[in-house]
Amino acid sequence: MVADSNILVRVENLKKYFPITRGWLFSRQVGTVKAVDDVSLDIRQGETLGVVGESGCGKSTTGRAILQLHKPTSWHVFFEDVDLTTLNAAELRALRPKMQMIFQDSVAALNPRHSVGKIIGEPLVIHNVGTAREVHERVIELMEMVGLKPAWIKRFPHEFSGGQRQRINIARALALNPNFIVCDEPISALDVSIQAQVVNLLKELQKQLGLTYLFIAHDLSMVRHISDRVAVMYLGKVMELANRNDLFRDPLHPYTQSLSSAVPVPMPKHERRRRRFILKGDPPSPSNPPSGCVFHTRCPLSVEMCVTTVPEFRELRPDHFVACHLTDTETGSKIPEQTVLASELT
Amino acid sequence: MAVVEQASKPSTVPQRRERTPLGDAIQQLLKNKLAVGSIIFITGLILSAILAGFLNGYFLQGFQAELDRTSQPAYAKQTLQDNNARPGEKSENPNLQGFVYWLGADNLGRDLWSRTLYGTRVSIAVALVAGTVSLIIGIAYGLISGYMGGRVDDLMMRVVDFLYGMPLLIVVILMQVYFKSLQRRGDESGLVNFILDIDKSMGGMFFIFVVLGALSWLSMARIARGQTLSIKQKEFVEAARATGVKPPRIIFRQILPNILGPCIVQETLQIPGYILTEAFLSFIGLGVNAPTPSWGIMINEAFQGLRSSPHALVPPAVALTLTVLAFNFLGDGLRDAFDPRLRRT
Repeated sequence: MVADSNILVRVENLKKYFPITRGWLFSRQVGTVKAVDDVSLDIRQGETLGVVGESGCGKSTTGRAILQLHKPTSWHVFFEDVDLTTLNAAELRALRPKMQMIFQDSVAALNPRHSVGKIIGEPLVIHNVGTAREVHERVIELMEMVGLKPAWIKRFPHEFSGGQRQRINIARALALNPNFIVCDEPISALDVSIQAQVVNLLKELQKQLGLTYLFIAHDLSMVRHISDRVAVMYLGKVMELANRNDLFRDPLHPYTQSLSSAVPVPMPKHERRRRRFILKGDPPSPSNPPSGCVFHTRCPLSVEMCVTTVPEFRELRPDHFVACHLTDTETGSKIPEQTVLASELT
Repeated sequence: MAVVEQASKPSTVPQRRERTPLGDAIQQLLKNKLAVGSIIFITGLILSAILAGFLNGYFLQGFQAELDRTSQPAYAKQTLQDNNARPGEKSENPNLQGFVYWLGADNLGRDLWSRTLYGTRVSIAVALVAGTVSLIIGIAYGLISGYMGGRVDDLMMRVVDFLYGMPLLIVVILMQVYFKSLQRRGDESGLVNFILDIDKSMGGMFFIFVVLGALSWLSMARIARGQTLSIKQKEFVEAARATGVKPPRIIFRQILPNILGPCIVQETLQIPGYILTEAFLSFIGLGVNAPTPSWGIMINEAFQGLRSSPHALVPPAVALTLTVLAFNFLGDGLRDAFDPRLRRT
C-alpha cells in the first residue's frame, strides 16, 4: 500500500490465531483457530471505515487487535506512522488516549459499582488530567456533549436505559480527546429507534471533533448510513474493501453480492422484485478453514482454481480492493440473475 | 424523570434519593426479618463477649468482692457445695449468701450463666480471626490467581487442592501432642517455649487459630478466583485496559468491588463452620485449656454428667445452636440482598 500522510491507522498482515490446547499440565497444541488471517487495511484520517461480516468472521478480533487488547500473532499496525508492535507497555500506555473503544454490550462495559461520574472520569484520573475540580468539569462537559443531563452524574449504570448507557460509553471513550475510536457493534444491542439516535450522535461527534472510526457492525443498512468505506470480512479475511457507494451498488465479490442482496428495501414495490442470493450451509470452522479461497465452499460460482489457490487481495479498480479469482475471468464474478429469486423461497 | 421534576421545587436539580448498589442491598437486607433478627442477635453476642466482665452472674448480683477475694474469675469460680445446682437454686456457700444460679451450676459448682457468657468470647474470637484471615488471604489469593490465569492460576489452585486434601484435624492433633510432649520432657527450645507461651496466654486457642487459619481461606480463594474469572471477561475491564489502566488498579478498582459481595456472603455462611470446628475440637479435648470456658468444652463436661444433671447441657447447646443459626440466616439474607437476579432495578 502506498504511504499516505492522510492515513491514520495502517494495518499490515494482521493475524490472530488462538491455540486450541488439551491437558493442563503438559498441555499440547492440537490446533489453531484462525480468527483473523492476514488482514491489511488502512484507515484514513477523519473517515469511517465500516467492517461487516457474519458472526465469528473476526470483525471484533480485528478491532481489538488494532488496539492491542488481543496480542496478535503477527502483524504491523502503524498509528500515525508509529509501529505499535515495537512499543513497550509504558509507551503503549502513553498512546492509549489517542485510540479508544466503544463496546457492544453497554451493560457489561460499565462497572456496576461505579457512578457515571466515576466511569467517565476514570480515564482522566489515570492520565493525570488536572485536579479533581477540572476532572469534574470535564465530565460535565462530556455528558452534555453526548446528550446526558449533568444532574445524573451520581447515578449508577443500572438506572439508565440502553441508549443512555451507550452514551455513557461514548462519553468515556471521548474523555481523552482520541483521534481514533473502534466502535465494536455499538448499536447492535439497541432498539431500532435508539440505534438511529446513537448513530447520528456518533456522526455528529465525528464532524465536531474530527474523529476517525472503525465501525464494526452486521447491520448493512446502518453501515451504509455511517461509513465512508466498507470492508467485508469472511472467515478472518477481508473479501472486499471499497467506497460505500461502489460496494453496495456494484459489489464485485460474490459474497458481498449475496450480503447486499439480503438487505430489505423499505419499499414494497421494489422489495417484491428484490433478487436474493441465498448461500448454502454455514461458514466453515475457522479452526479448519478451506483451502484456496476460504469462500469456495459456499460460492455459487466457484471453479477449480478457487479450491487450489488463495486469491490475492488487490486493487481492481481505483480504491476498490477485492479478493476473488473470478473478477479476472470472462464470466466475471457476478452471480447470474436467474440463480435464486426471492419469490422462489417461500 | 418528568414526573420527578414536576413534583420537586422549581430548582434546576431534582431532589432524589441517592441509590448506590450497596445502599440498595442494605435496604433489601433490612426488609428480611430473619436477617434483621440475626443482626440484632449477633450484635448482642459481640456486646456480651466484650462486656462479659459486667454481665456475669457474680457481678450482676453484687458478688464481685467475693470474686476479688478468692481471685477467681467468674467463669472459674468453684463452689463445691453447689455442684450440679438446678436452675434458680440458691447458693449454699456462706460466702455467696443469696446468690442465685440462674441457669444452674456444673459438676464443679461453677455458674453456668457466667461460663456460657464467657464462652461467647471464644466463639466470637474464632469467628473474627478465621473470618478475617479467610477474607484477606482468600480474596487476595483468588484475585491474583484468577487475574493472572494460565499456568500461574493452575499452579496456585493446585496448592489449594493440596491443602484441601490434607487432614488438618490430624495435623493439629499431632502439633499439640508434639509441643506438649516437648514441654513435658523439658527440652523445649526458644521457639517451642514461645509458641506454648502464646497458646497459654490465649487459653489454648492458638492451635485452633492455626488450624482454622490454614483451613478457612481455601474455599474463599476458590470462590474469589471464580468470581474474578467471570468479572475479568466483562467489557468494562477491557475498557479500563484500553484506557491504559495498570493491572493493580484494575484488580482493586474494577474487579474487587464486584467480587466483594459474593465473598462476604460466602464468609458469613462459613462462620458457623468455624464456630462448630472450635466446639468440636474443644469437645474432643483438643481445644481450649481447662478453666477457659468454650461451648464445646462445656457440652463435653455436661455430657459426662448427663444422667445426674441434664440441665447443664442446655445453656451451651442452645447458645451454640442459636449462634450458628443466626449466622446462617444472616448469610442467606445477605445473599438474597446482593443477588442481582432478585433485586428490582
